[in-house]
Amino acid sequence: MTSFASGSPAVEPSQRRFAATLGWAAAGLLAVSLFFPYWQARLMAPQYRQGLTATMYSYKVVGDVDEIDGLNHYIGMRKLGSLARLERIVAIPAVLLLALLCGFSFWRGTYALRVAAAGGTIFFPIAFVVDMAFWMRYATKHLDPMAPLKLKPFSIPVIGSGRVAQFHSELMPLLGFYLAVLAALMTLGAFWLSRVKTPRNDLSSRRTAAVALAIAIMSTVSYPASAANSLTDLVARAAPGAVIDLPAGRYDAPLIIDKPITLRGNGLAVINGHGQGTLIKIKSPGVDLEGLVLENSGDSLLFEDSAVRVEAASAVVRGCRMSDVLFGVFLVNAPGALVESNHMSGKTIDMGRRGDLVRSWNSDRITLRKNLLEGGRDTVLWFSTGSIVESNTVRDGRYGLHFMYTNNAVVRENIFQGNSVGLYVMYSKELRIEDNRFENHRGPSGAALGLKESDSIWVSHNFFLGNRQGIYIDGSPLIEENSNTFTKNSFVYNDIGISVLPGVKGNSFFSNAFVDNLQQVSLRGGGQLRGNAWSRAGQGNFWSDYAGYGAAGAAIGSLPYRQDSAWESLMDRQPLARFFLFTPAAQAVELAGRAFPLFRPKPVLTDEFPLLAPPAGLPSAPMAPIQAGMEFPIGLLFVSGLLLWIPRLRPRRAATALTPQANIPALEASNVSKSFAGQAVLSDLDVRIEPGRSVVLWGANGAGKSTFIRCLLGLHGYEGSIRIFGRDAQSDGESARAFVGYVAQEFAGYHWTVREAMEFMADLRGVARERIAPTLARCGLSGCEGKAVPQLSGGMKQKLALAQALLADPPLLVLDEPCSSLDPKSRAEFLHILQGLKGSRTILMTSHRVEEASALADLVLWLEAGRPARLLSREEFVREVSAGRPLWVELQERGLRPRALEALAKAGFSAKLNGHGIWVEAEPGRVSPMLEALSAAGISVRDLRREIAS
Amino acid sequence: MNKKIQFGLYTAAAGLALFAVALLGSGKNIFAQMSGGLGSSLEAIIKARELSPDDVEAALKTFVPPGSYDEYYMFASGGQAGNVEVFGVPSMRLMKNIPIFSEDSWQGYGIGDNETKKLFAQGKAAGMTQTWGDVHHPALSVTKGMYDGQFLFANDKANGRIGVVDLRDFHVKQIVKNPLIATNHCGAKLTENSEYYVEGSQFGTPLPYTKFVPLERYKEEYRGLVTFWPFNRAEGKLEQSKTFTIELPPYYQDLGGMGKQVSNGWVFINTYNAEMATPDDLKGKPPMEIAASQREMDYLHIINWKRAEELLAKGQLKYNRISGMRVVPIAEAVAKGILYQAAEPKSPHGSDVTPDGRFITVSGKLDPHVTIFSFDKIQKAIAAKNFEGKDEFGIPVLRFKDVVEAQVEVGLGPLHTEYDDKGYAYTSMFLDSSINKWSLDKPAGGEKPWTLLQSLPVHYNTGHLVVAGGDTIKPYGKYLVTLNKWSLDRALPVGPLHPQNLQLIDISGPTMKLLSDTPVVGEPHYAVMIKADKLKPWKAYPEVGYSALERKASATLTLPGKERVERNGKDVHVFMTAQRSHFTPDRIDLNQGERVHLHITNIERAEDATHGFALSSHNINLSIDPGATVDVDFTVDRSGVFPFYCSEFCSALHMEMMGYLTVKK
Repeated sequence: MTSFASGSPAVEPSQRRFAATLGWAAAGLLAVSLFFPYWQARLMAPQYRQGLTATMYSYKVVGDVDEIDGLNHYIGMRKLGSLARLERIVAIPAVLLLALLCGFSFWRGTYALRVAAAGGTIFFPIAFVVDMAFWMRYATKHLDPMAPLKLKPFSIPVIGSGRVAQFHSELMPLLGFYLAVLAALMTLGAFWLSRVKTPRNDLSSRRTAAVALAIAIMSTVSYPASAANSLTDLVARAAPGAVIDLPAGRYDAPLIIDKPITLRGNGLAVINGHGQGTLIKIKSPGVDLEGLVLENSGDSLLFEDSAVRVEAASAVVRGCRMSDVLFGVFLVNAPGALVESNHMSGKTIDMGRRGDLVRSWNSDRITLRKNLLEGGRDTVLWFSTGSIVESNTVRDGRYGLHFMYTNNAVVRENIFQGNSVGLYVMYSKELRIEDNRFENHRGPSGAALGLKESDSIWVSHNFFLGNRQGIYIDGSPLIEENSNTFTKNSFVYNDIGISVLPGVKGNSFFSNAFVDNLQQVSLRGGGQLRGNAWSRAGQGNFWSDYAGYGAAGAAIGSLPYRQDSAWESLMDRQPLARFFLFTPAAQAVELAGRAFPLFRPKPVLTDEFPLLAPPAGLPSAPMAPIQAGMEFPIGLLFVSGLLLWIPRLRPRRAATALTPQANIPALEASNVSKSFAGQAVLSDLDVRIEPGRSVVLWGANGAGKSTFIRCLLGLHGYEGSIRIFGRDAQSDGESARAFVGYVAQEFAGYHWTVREAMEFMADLRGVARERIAPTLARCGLSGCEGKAVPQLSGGMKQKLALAQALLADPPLLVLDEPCSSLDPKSRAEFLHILQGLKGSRTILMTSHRVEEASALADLVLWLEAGRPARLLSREEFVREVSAGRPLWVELQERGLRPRALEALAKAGFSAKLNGHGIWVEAEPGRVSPMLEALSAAGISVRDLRREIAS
Repeated sequence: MNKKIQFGLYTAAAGLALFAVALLGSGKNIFAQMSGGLGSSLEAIIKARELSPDDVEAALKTFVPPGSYDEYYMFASGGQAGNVEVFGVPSMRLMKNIPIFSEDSWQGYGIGDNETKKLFAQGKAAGMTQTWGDVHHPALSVTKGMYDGQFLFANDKANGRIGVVDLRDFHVKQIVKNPLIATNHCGAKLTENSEYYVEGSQFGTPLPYTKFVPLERYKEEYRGLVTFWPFNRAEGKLEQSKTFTIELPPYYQDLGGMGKQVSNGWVFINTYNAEMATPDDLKGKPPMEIAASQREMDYLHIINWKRAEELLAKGQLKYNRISGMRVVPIAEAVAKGILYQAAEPKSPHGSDVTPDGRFITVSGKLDPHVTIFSFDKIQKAIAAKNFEGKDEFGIPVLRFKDVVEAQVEVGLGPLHTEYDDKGYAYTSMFLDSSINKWSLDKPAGGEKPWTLLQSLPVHYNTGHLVVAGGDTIKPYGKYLVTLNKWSLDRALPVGPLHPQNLQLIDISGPTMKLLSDTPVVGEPHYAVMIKADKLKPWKAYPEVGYSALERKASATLTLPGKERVERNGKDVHVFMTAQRSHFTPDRIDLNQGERVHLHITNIERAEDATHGFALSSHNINLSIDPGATVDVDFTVDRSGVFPFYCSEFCSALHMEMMGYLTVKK
C-alpha cells in the first residue's frame, strides 16, 4: 500500500488534488451519514392516531419498534430486530471502511482502489434500498401461519404510501440516505477527474492479492493437510483404559470402540462420515470421547445415522463439536452416560427428515449438561429415569426436550428457544423443572412446557416468553393426589399463559406472574375447570389484567381475580379484536356482557388472593447464557421493566353503577399527579366541580389537558384521587365511568350507518333504542339515520359522537378537543348544540380556542406547566387571555383579503394583513358581528383563532 | 416509556372500535340475531341455560325436529362390546345396535336361536366358540369407490375374524375366521369395487398360530400376513376357498389403506414393532412398550395385490397351502414385485389414502408431522429400483426422501386422517386432543398446500375420526365425528367406567365448529358415515317365513293354519306362528329328556310388529321380526311348568300373548 502512482502523465496535478478533496469530502459525508436516519416508515391506524414510527439508520432501527413488534406478533411477522441482522452488524465498519477507501484512493490510491471506492460508494445506497426492500418483502411474505391473526401475505411499498388491514403506511428516505447519495455522486466526480489507470508496473495490487490469497489458503487449511488416517488401527492397538490423544488431522469414519478407552481430539481431530452411516459406535462401557470434531453423518432415518451411537454404560461425550449430523448422540441401553459441553447442529433438511441431536432410550441416570443443540429435530429421553438435564441451550428444533416415561428427573437452567415445542413431558412423574427459559415456541401446538398424564411435577422459576402456549396441561396429574405445583414462574407475552383441558384437576398455581398474555389462562374447548388451586396459603398470582385494587401498601388485591370466557368468546368470534388488546379498548370488556346481552360469560378461574405486584425473585433478567445465549432479546429488558411498571399501568375497574347523589361534586380531583418517564405532566392538581357547571380545560399542548381526561376515564394510572360523583375513577372505575359520556377528538366509526352506530351504542350501554331518534334530533342529525358514517362530514361525525355520548343521558359529558378538526361553521354549530346542553348536566371540555372557551365555559380550569392549576370564572379568563390579542382569520380565498379588510373597516373593525390571513382586533363578544360582516360581503372564512399567551 | 404516552392517545373511541369491528366483521348484527330476532321466551331459555351464541347455533344445527330424519347414518364400532352402533347424524341419536360377535338379548342374538349358533360356529377360534369380539373397524361395501349402502363389514381384533352385515335387515350373514392368525387389525377397508375385503394380521404368530413355536424363534418362525378375501356380492359372503394371503414379516401390522383410482390395485399397510421385540419382563426383558419403541422408523408395507391376483390366475405365483389357505411366501412376493416397503415414522397410526388415490397420509404417533407419501413417487422409485436397503426379510425399502411428497407439522400425537370434498385433510391428534385441519395439494380455498389451517380442541384423547364419506373417492364432507377415548368430566358421572365420547363437528364452513357431545357405551374405534338415502333397508321381510341368515324362505317356515307339533322319537318339532296377540300353538307339553325344536314364524306383515319369544328358565329369548322364521332347539332336562310370552310389546293385549311349555318328569 505504500507505493503510489505519482507519475501518471494524463492527469493534471490540480485535477488530481480536486479529486482527492472530493474523495475526502465524500468520505466525510459517508461517515456523517451514520449519525442520521436513512429511512423512515410510519404506520397509522384508528387506534394509533399519531402513528407508529420506525426510523432506520444504516445499522439500527429505532422508534416505536416494540409497539410495532407487538402488533406484528399478532399477524405472525418477524420482529424488526431479527431482520437484516448481518447487515446491521457490518454496517458501521463497512461504511467507515468505505469512507476511508474513498478518501485514501483518490488521494494516493491505485486505479483499482479508485474503482473499488467509486463502485462501493455508488453501490452502497442502492444496496441499502435493495436490501431494505428485500427484508420488507421477506417479512411480509413470511408470516407465521399459526399467528393469532391471519393475514394474506401483503406488500408495503418501500417508498410512498401503502395499506395493510386498517393500517396506512408511509415510507420515505431521510437525511442519512441523501448524504450517502451525495457521497456517491462526489466519488463519481472524483473518479471522473482521476480516471486514468496507474501504470501496470505498480506491484502493490498484485502484492496485496498474493497476501490475500495466502491468508485465504491458510485459513481454509487450518489443519495439517493429511493426518494419519488410521483411527481403527489406533483403537485396535490401544490397551483397555488407554488414553489416546489424537493428533490434529482429518480422520474417516466409521469407528467402532469395543474397549474402555479415552479418545481425545483437543478440538482439532476431525472425524468425517462423508455422508454415510454412523461415525462412532461405542460398544464397551467406560468409553470417553473428548474434544472431537464430528462431521457429516449419513441421513438415513431408517438406519439412524448418528455422530455417536452408544450401546454400553457409562460413556462420556464431552466437548465435542458435531455438525451436519442426522442424530447427534444416540444412547441405547447406555445408563449413566454423560453428555457435556458439546455443540451439536443438525442437517439443514426438512424438520420431519432430521434426526434427534440427543436421543436416549432405556438409559437411566444420564446427564446432559451445558450442551448447545441447534437445528436438530428433538432431544428425547425414553425410559431414562433419574436423568439430569441442565444448563443446555436447545433451539430451532422440534421438541426442545421430550420426556417419555422418564421419571425422577431434573430439568434445570436450560434455555429453550424457537423450537416447535419446548419441553414436553409425557407419562412421566416426579420431575423438577426449574430455572429454565422458554422462548418463542410457535409450532402448531407451540407449548413451551407440555404435560401429558404426568404426575408430581414441580415447576418453578421458569420464564415463558412469547410462546403460543406457556404451559399446556392435559390429564396431569393423572392421579389427583399426585399434585403438580407451578410457582414463581413468569408468563409474559404468550398467546396463552396456561392452557388447560377442562378435565384437569389437582394442580396448584401460586406466586406466578401472568403479564400481558393474550389469554392468561385458556380452557380448551369449553366446560369448567375444577379442582385446581390458584393460590396457596393466601398467596395467589400476579395478573397484569387484574382490575381490583388494594389498600395502600397491601400485597394482595381486595377483590378476587376472575377470568371469565367473555374475551375468549369475543376473540373466538372476532379474532381481529386481539388487535385492540393492550389498548384502552380492553376497557370495553367490562361492557362485553352487554354486547352479548344474553350471554353470561362462564368463569374460567378464580384467584382469591391476587398479588398486586409480581412476587419478588421471579426470573426476568437474562440468565448467564451457556455458550451461546448471545441473542437474548432486548425485549426481555423491556419486559423486566414492565414487570415493575405494570402495577401502576394497570387499569382498574369494579363494582356497579349508581345514580349520582345530590350535594356530591360532579368531579373532584385531589393531589392528582401523573408523570411519564420521570417527567411530571400533572402535579398536585386539585379541583372541585359542582354538578351542572360547564368547565373548559384550558392550556397549551402538553399542559396535561388530555392526560387529565384520560386519568379520569381510567385510561391512565395516577397518584392522588379523582372522584366522579363520589366514585373513585381508579378503584371503582366502572361505576365512575357509568356517569360519563365521552366525545373524542375524532370519531372512530366504521362502515355502518348512523342508525347502526347508535343502536350499537344503545345496546352497549343498555339504553332503549327508542332514545335514539330524540338524541339524534337533539344533535342536529335528524334524517341522517340511513347515512353511512364514512360519508359524513367532519362536523356531522362529531355530532354523531356527541349523540352517542348523550344516549345514556350521562350527568357528566367529557369532550376532548371536539372541534379541533372542524371548520368554523361546523365548529359554531357544534358549540351551539353544546350551549343548549349547558346546565342540564356537567360539561368538561378541553380546548385551546378562546372562542370555544368563552362561548361555553362557566369556569375555566387553566393548566400550565410549572404552575398550579387555576380555576377561573369565564370573565376572568376572557380578560386574562384575550386582552389585546388579535383574532387571526384565514379566508377560503386568499385573493379576497383586500376586500375583507374593506368590509371589516366598514363594520368598524381594525384589521391588517398577516401572512396568508388577516389580523382583526375583535373582543370575544364581537366575533359573531365580525363574521357576519365578512359573510355579508360574500367572503367565507376557513379558520379563525385568537393568538394567545399561555 | 415515553412511547407509551404517545401510544396513550388511544381513546375510548378505540374501545368503540373494538366492538364495531367485532360486530361488523361478522357481517351481521349479533344483537339483532340474539335479542331482536328472538321471542322473549327463547331469550329466557337462553339466559336460564347460560347459552352462548355458539351454543345456540350448534343447537339449531343439530336439532332434528320430531318426525324428521337425519341426513346421515353413522356406523360406529362398539369395540369390545363386539357390535356396531348406528347413529343418525347430525342429531347423534342412537338408532340401532348391530350385534356381530357378541350376544344381544334384545335382538335374540345368541340367546338360544340356531342362526347365531351357526354364525358363532363359523367363527370358532382355535376350535372354541367365542361369544364376544373386539370390533375395531367397520367398513362399508363400495362400488366404483363410492359407498353403495349394501353391506357392512367389521373385524374382530381379538380373534382374527370378520363379520358381514346385510344392510337390508341389519343382520349378520356371516362370520369368517382366518385360521392362520390369532388377531387382526387392518381390516378397515375394501378394494375399490368390493372385490376383496383386506385383512391384515396384528400380533406376529407362527402360521398357523395354533402351531406351537417358542417365542425365542420369533424372527425365524413368526410371521404376519395380509389375506385378501373375495366378496361374493350376490351371496353376501366372503369366500374362504378363494382367498390368497401374502406372508409378511412379524412386525405388528396396523392399519391398511386401500388404493383408489390411480392407486387402485395397491394396499398400504402400517406396521409397528419393527424391533420384533418379544416380551418376558419377569426375566428382565424390557416391557413391550419400551422394547417396541426403540427404533426411529417402522415400515409401511406397499403391496400390489392386483399383480398377485393376476399372477395367481396365470399360475405364475408360488404359494404354500397352510390350513387350507394359499400363502405366498415373502421371498416370492418380493421376487415377483408384489411387496415393497418404505420407512415411516415410529408407531404409525393411519395409512389413509386421499380420495384421488394419489397420496397416502401416515401419522407417526410420536412425530408431530404427518408424512404424505406420493403414489406416483412410489411407482417411480420402484421402477428405478433405487432402494435404501432391504429389511431382514429381504424386502426392498424405498428411500424415504424419494417417496415422500410432503410432511406437514400438525401438532402432537397425530393418529388418523380423513378427507373432505374440498381438498382438506383432518387429522385426529391424540396428544393435543384436537382435530387439526390441513390442506392437500389443491385446497378449494386456495390456501398454501400442505399447511396446517386450524386446530379444534376436542375431549379427550381422540382416536379415530370420521368424515362423512371420508374414505370414498368423493367424500360428502359436511360433518366430522371424533371418537374420543376418554370422557372424564364431559357427562354426568356413571361410576368408574366412563362412557366414551363422540363429538360432532361441522366442517362445512372455512373453520370447523364443534356442535355436540354424545357419550356412548363400548369403545368406538372407528366409524363410517353414509348418506341416509343410499340405504334401502327393509321394513319387514319380503316374504313370510324368511330366514334372515339364509336370505331366502326358511325350510321350517310355518304358514297360518299349518301350525302343528310333530314327534319323531325324542325329537319334538313345534311349527309355531306368532301374530298379535297369540302364539299358535300356545301349549307345548313335553316329557323330560325330549329334544324340542321350535320353529316360530312371525306371520305379521305390518311394519314394526316384531314379536319376542321369551321362555322362562331356559336362557332363551328370540326376536322374531315381521315375516321372519326363527329356530331354536334344546333338550328339556328339567321338569316343570315354564311360561313363554312375547317379550316385545306388540299390542294392547301384549300381556296376554303367552303360552306354557310343560315338562313332565
